[in-house]
Amino acid sequence: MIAAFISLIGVAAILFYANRTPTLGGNFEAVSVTGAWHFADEAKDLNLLYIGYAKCPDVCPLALSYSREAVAKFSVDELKRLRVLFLSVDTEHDTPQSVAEYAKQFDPNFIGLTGSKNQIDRAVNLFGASYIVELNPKSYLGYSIAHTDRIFFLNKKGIVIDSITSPRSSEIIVEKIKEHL
Amino acid sequence: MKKLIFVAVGVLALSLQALAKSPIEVTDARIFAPMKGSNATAGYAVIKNISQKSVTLVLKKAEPFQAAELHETIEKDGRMSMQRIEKLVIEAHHGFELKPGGNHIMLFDANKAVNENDVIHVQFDIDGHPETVDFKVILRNKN
Repeated sequence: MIAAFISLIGVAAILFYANRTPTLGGNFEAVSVTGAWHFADEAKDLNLLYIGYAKCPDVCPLALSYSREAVAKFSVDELKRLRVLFLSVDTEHDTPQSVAEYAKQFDPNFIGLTGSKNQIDRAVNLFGASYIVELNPKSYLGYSIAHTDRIFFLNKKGIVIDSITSPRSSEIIVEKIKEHL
Repeated sequence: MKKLIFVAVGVLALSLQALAKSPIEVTDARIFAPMKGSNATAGYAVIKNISQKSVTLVLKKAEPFQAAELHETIEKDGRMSMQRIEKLVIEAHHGFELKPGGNHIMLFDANKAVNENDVIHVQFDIDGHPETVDFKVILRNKN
């Protein structure tokens, strides 16, 4: 009887392990306008993270604009439990100051971050995102950065609980915030 | 007398050019005001070819920006990637939308302030003929 019970527990444990959802995310380090920054330090109940770069004229400002429209739908009390992070992977050109200034123009509460290449690469890997710096000699800028176009929804521990790929409306962001806040 | 004829011919040529109907109609032409922390911004519009044949558009310049380029945003290996394109070809009686997340005009380093409601005169070469399209400047951080 005991052996059967132990076997049953063992099978249940194996099934649980085999079927568990892989966990993405966690605490990560970056640099903000005020210096060293750790996700865990002032983590909110819900944290929206977008990974891009400030010189991106198209999908990054699109995601941040829709995020701004979305958070505007929530009350002051609700917004105390929420924050939006913009993490720049352009470690060569974006500074903590420039990214912070860029992000705040969308919403004064948006937090712009960057960091060393090691810090950024670690964060990007943590969230299953990716980026590639592509040299583009035919363009005035000389380069562009191909990057994941996704809003990650993180819990207080930085774990990804949801995401939206290529956000193209504020409504879908509002729905996700309502679902998780 | 010769001088007078030259002037008359010149005026006639200019008048004919002004009267020549553009093969395109452009609506919803807008450029986002540049934001601090970035030297690049984007412009969008809906372009309709109202002529009987395909037209080729080449972007030339958009003062006061130091550079103006046509770009396309494409998804590649799970990442959004931007690439410069040299021209747009629009078939007869077809439309083409420069839209967020797709093809767009990319503008760099304005050498003077560009503010909401300004009009940027964007210069194209359409089948070899210069044509200016006015784009209105709008803000990103405004509902």
